[in-house]
Amino acid sequence: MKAFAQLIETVRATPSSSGKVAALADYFCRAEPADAAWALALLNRRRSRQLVEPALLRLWAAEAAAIPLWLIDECHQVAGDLGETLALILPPVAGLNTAPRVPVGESSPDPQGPCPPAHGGSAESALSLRQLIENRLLPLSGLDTAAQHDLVLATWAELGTRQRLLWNRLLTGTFRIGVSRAMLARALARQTSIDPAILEYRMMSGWEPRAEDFRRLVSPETTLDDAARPYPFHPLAEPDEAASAQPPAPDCQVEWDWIGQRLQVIRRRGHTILWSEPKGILTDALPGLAQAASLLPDGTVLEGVLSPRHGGGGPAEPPASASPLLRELARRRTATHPLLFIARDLLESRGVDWRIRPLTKRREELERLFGSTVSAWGDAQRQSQKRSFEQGELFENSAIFSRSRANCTRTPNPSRPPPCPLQLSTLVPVAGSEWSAMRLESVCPPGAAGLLFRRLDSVYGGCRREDAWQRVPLSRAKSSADTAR
Amino acid sequence: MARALITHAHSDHARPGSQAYLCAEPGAGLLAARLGGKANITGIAYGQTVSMDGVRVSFHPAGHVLGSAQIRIEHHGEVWVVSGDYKLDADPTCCPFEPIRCHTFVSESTFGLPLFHWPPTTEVVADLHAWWIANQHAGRTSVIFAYAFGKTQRLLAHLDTSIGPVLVHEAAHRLLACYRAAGVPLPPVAPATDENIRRIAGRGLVIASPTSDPSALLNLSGPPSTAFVSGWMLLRKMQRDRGVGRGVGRGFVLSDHADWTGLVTAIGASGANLVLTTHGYAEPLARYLRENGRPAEVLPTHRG
Ligand SMILES: [Zn+2]
Ligand SMILES: [Zn+2]
Repeated sequence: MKAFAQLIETVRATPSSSGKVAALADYFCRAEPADAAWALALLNRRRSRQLVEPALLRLWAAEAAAIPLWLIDECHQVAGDLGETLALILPPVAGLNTAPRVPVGESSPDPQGPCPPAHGGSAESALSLRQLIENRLLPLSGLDTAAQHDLVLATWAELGTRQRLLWNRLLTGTFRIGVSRAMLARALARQTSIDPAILEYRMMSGWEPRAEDFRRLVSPETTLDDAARPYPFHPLAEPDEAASAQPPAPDCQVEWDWIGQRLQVIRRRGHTILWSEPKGILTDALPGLAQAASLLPDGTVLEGVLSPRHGGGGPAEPPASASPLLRELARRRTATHPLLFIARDLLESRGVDWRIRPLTKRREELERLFGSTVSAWGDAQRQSQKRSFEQGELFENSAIFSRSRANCTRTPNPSRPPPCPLQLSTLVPVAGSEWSAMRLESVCPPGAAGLLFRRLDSVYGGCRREDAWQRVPLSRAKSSADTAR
Repeated sequence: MARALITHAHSDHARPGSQAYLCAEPGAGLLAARLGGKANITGIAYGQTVSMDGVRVSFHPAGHVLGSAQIRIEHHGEVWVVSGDYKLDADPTCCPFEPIRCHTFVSESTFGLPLFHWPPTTEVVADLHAWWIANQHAGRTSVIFAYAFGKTQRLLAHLDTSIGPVLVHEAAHRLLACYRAAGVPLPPVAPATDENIRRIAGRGLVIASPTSDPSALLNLSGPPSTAFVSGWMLLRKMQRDRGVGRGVGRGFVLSDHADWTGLVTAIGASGANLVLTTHGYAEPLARYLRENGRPAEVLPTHRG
């Protein structure tokens, strides 16, 4: 508790992120796992909600410090922060007025009761972070105001100023700290010598702030779960309206900018994982795509967009005015009739991280991979179609990959398999004479919002200027007007 | 003014232009250093009474800085005490505050809000040492911004100079002789000249003036770790204003003024039936005293 309050101070006062990481690493290597688990939960994601009204805390602090309310408000104005004001105005432990409101002997908030406050001792509490949260903070929600009063005051009486500040922030649900998940992963990696990417992934997966979960989180044993870890997505810039008329620089790769969920297709140790942000793992939700992706070689991670199958005469969205029955049918159809994954980057190949290689190299490797995968997929389709046909089945499985239920013939032509749900993002030629905004708008496929420009030497996830993705919108309205003419 | 009574040599309490100055004996040398050699200064031992025009005047330790005094003035049995700046915390560079009974107590109130409770000095100094050592491990020079008179010498008296070399701002360095002459033991330190700073880069500690430019140090020592030492560092808002978390790495809470408890304690010990508050949060302090049964008013600070 003391160590955690100190850590918060240090992190706040340290300007550099490497300094913050060092302080975090130092804390995690000393902390008990049960405390470290809560610390990580607080630092990483868990927002405590407001358990006590700030107005009540102000009243209670006035009482405990024997200070009139107007003087608290005066202090609040100078300090500018209520949690901090209340932490500061409370005098050192011995001077605190903590007469309980609940008569002694009545129900205590948790089975063991809170530790008896250490009156008159030093300002440094023996209370651990786990005890503070589990025995003091969490029980508050089940207590009436009088019992909350007693527990809050008893806790104030035990804490030093820094710890009181933390406690006040937890009480009012205002604990915030500028630490990213990547920084936490780097800090934990120093102690555990596990790849920060794995730690980051483990932090994103389900765990509870318990000692055993924390031990598992930092365990040097890599589990099957770790094989599922995705890479952080490259930051996606807003479409750049001003750039629409500009022909691209010659050192750019240009492709369609697809609208849809961003997805990573991860293939490791014989397992296939479809990862999207913020939805997480979508493998079970997209069985058709997962099946096709299982043809990718082990140690492959692709990045792309999950796009509704617009091109190739796929099912159009029914208008909002359509009858509920029609819409339900369409919903079921899309459920079995999958979305396309349009791969636009390769992040890992043959188990090696490719992100820092230039885009040209990644694209080359991506094309090579696609060549072999798509032909494997075609073979698999022909096999399965043939089998279904021979067995007189209704072709349910492979129908998910067919162009559409409406176009689907009940007797498939084995020589022409339906398109693979894994698609390679097609490049838009940039040669000078080809370049015309109007022409581009007229050929812009449905599902694409514009063009995506990336420098040939850009790296994935890089933060240099030349790594940035530029998105150029194209006007769909104009293109349909052109087509009509 | 013909004759000025000086509580201590800080510039807001000791202005040039008077024909004669009276101050507590241990502060006479500092006052001379501040006002220049020509000033007519008389130092009077703590507790010794001098009579001037039927008024009995004596100086009593205020515990603020070397030579700081509360001034007791007695006229027809009516006793006033003017506190000047004071603190109750122990300070190895000056005599401890001495409570004086009086009818009217003029009290400073720089930190006259119950926000201000100073942490124990030993704790602050231990934090500061730990910070210095951590900077040495990182190969960075430690730079502390602190006032040249009082704070710098108090820090020096507390610092463990076995950790590494210490330099002090040249203005502060000039005052060290006055301290040594007054019998205050201070470790030998060199002035913070460019050459000296280069010599101690990466391991030393520089006590610099709060107004000095940290970027000048950057050229001499590489990027330094910086800290600000003041009672105001108790507040995050003040830390942010001083650049803590951006340029300045740390704020250490160490003040030569009384904190809230110190003010209330000293006022209580004076037994005064009228308290006049001045400097800082005079208004809330006076109101608090009145509400607690002690007549109190704000004494407007007069400047110029
Ligand atoms: Zn002063
Ligand atoms: Zn002053």
